[in-house]
Amino acid sequence: MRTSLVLLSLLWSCVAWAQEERSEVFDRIYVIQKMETVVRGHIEIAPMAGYVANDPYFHQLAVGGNLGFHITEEWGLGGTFYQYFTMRSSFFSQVQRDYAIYPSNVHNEWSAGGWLTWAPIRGKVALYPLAIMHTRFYVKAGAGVLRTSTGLHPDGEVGLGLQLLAMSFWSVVVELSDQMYIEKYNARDEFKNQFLVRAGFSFLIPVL
Amino acid sequence: MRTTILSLLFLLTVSTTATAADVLEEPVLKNRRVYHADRHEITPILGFTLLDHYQHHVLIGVGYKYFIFDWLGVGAEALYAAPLSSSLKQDIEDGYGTVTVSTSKIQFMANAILELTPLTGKAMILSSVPFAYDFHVVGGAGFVSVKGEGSIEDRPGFAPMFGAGMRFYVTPGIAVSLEMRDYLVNMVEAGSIDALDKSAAFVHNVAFMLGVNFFLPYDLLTSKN
Repeated sequence: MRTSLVLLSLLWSCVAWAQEERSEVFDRIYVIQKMETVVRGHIEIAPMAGYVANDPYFHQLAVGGNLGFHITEEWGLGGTFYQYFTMRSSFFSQVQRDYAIYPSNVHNEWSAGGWLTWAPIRGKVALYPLAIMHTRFYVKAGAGVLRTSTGLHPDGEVGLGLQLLAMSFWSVVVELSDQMYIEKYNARDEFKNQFLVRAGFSFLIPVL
Repeated sequence: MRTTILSLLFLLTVSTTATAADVLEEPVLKNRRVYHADRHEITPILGFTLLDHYQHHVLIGVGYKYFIFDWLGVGAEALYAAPLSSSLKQDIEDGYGTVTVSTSKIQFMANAILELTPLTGKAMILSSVPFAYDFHVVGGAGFVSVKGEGSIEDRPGFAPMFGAGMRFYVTPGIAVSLEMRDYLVNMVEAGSIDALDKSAAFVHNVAFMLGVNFFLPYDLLTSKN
């Protein structure tokens, strides 16, 4: 009898302990989880590819990437380099045939520069019911040089980006940028806006 | 006695592992706010086409969707298109002086639409203002009315569409949507200086669309798990 009572009380305490553990686990799950430090103190290496979206005469593919450092969760800085691969579009020859117009054979060759990013919006997104991923929306500003078929030109760039952190050390990045420079044609100089769509992966390496 | 102790040890093992397994089987979100399921969405739309060679269009219309599930909505939209000449068209006409570039102009579009919303989330602006948002893809097809100029004939027809966008929730029942869509329209984009007949082809009409989504019922539901 005494032995049975001891065993019963042991069993009861185990059940109570399991219930308390479950309650403690769910007590730590908030509607909005505590903000985690996801990029601060990390070096970011981001191979990316891009496309010049608003050039009707050339298909211009950019291959390259970013190398940067995140000082805080909001601010980061770094450098960038892109090599361009270009091909005439069908519209280049179509406009010659239809209207005897001969577009300038000017296209990008490579670009390099520095940038600064600021991420005022940070959050999470749910691929329900599988996973929750961190997201960062950022604005980007930079300056550098752009080499086209007419020579080397200083350029400036502003853009928006979205970073989706799939795991703690890598993420998917999408950027929309406006690259501005002054192109020197034979007849005149012209201020140009090139809209670029870039996408790629980024790898985060903690250093601090 | 030995049997009793062994039975007790077995019970201890099963109870704790069952608790751990219960937690692992739980979905990543509990008591999730349901933003779409069983809700109607009415959206006034404003858009404009980008990357056009000869003719831009401003798109004005209205859309309706019903979300069967939180991730799936079906609906329709009707859009009126107002044409605007592109800078290339202006330059060609100014350069020649006596030439008018004949183009096709989209007048009206009506589409059936399917929306998939795989990702929903929450974010904070400057760590102080929370808001909900989602990513979605859309696809559809419908009727388009195209008016031709000069030697180009009018061409009503079938136009498939696909796109993607984001929705930002200002209140539980009102959101702002930003989308990029591609309307594939079978049309003759422009004539030529010698006015020879040109065959029609599917032309990409890439458009940026801004909408204000009004949801009914206004209040959000909470998932049962």
